[in-house]
Amino acid sequence: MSAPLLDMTGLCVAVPTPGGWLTVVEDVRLRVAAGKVCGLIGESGCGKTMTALALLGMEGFQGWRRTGGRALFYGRDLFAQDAAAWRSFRGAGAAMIFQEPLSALNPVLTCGRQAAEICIAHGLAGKTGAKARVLELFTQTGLPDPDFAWSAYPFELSGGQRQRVMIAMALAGEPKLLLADEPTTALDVTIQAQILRLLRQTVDARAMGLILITHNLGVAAQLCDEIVVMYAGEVVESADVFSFYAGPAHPYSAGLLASLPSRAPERPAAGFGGIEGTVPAPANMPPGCRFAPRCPRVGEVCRTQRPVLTEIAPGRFVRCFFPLTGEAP
Amino acid sequence: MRNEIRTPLTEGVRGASCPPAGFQGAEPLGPSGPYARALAALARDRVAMAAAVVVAAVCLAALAAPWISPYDPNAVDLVLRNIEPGWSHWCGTDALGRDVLTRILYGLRVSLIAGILPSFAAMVLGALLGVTAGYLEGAAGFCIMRLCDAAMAFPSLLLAMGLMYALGSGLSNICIAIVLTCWTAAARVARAQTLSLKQREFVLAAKAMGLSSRAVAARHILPNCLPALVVLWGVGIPEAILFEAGLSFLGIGAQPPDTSLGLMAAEGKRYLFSAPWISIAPGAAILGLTLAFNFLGDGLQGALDPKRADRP
Repeated sequence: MSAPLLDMTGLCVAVPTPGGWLTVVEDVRLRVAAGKVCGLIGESGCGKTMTALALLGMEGFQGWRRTGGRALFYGRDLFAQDAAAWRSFRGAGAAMIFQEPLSALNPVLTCGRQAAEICIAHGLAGKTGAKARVLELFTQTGLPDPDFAWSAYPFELSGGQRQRVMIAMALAGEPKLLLADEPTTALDVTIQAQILRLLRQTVDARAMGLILITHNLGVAAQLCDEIVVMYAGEVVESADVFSFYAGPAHPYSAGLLASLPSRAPERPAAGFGGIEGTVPAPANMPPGCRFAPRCPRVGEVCRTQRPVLTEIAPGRFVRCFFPLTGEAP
Repeated sequence: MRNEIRTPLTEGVRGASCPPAGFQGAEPLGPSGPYARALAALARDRVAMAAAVVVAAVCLAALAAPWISPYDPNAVDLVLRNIEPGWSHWCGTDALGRDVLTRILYGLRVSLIAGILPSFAAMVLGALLGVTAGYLEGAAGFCIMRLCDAAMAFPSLLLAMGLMYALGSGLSNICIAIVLTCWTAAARVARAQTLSLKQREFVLAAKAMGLSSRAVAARHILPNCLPALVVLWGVGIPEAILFEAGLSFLGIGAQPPDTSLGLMAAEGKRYLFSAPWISIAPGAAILGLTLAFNFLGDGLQGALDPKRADRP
């Protein structure tokens, strides 16, 4: 495996509540290599987006804060840099693609102007050269009529075109790492496939890293090289895509995969299961393993002690006392 | 090559805002460019266009007063005192025999200057302070908004009187008084807009793309406040006109022999029953001008909102 572009360990994020700071993301480990796609999977509210925003150093803008962790980006410690370094890192080091492009694009500025100002902000184009550069990016992201998109307001474009503009804007600063926060959730299935193909092509062509935040296991299987599963603010499993889908090691991952409807002959059509219970509230986490109340393999130790993320096979990390290791559960 | 399909269906609604399937990226059938679009939307608003025509006509008439009126606004002719409106004096003459319509035309100059310039300056000042206060919050924002509260609590007439006393009367000092009275509304609107815009995802996205705080405030938040501020300006113009007229009516604005609509109304007060046109004509001019500006401001609101710009 090539040297990682991003190596983040122990990320903790806390949000303010009336009762004090509450840790909602704990001990997140994420490793992304150049040209690889890392899928960050989990339910709504498990801290996926927060992790991505923390990677961009956005905590100052939203009231929450990062309480721990270390992120090496090409060997440079991100969380030690000052505000000016963060600003040039955002966009030029890593950039984010948001879930709903209509709300992530400014409604009163033309798409072209919004993309151009990112090029200008990162010193990649002057005021005159920005237009040519943006049109080139619009062409690369597959917009059918770049000139029209340049002068169009976001509401004048279709959903798929808006997401292409969003991707072009994310690429405008020549970042090495893309963070895509459910980039296809707001799109219909055919456009989803186009956008996912575009993301994969972009990653391959530019040798970038991509962190794809999704709760769609099918999308993740199709696009990702690595899978990281989060549950209740923690990483519970991290594995390469083939071994993950061949045999998930954490009972939660297994539950997720089992809850997919399948047409494979070995699984009966009616036989997709769910996971019993609900995600615990952040203020009321169980003292032991956070998945223990819902886990089919729970033991006594799970209720009292917190498991740590351990490497059970090369490159494969699981946070579980009783990981599934190939045998039938 | 771009398709250019003009059908009865797309003609009316300007196709690009809701392109039919397979029609993506077609050239808009209407004008392009943000300002052209806003103007086109304004041109479709009949009330606003009528108001704009009135405003333009008033501006022209005020500018061209020396050429379109045969009379000198200050020529006293005691033989021609209090003449009723008629063919030679359309709005009659006043107690000193001066032509009322001519004086209205010259008075409109004062009204237009006092209406447009200080309310614009107040809008700019208020917008800058309001966006700063909303964006920074904290101590700076607190200080700005308390200053704003203090300015709002202070009676505007008292402020104007104090200012006139300190600086002397004159059009520029009237304008300063209007700016100091009117900036608070713009500041509060700009701050409220900024506070809500700050929570929007596109502001987060702009920051996530590496724009500096100043760039986000100036290029993402301020343009989104503009429609509200322009409407506020539109409302502020008639307010400022009335404020100047009020000051002059009370005798602390324009001083004789200068003309001002408010001053003229005050001069006609004594003859309200014998020669009502001396007060009523300038009063009607104030009414017409403020109404026209109000309707124009309303039309601008619709035209400057890009989400509404393309609706007929």
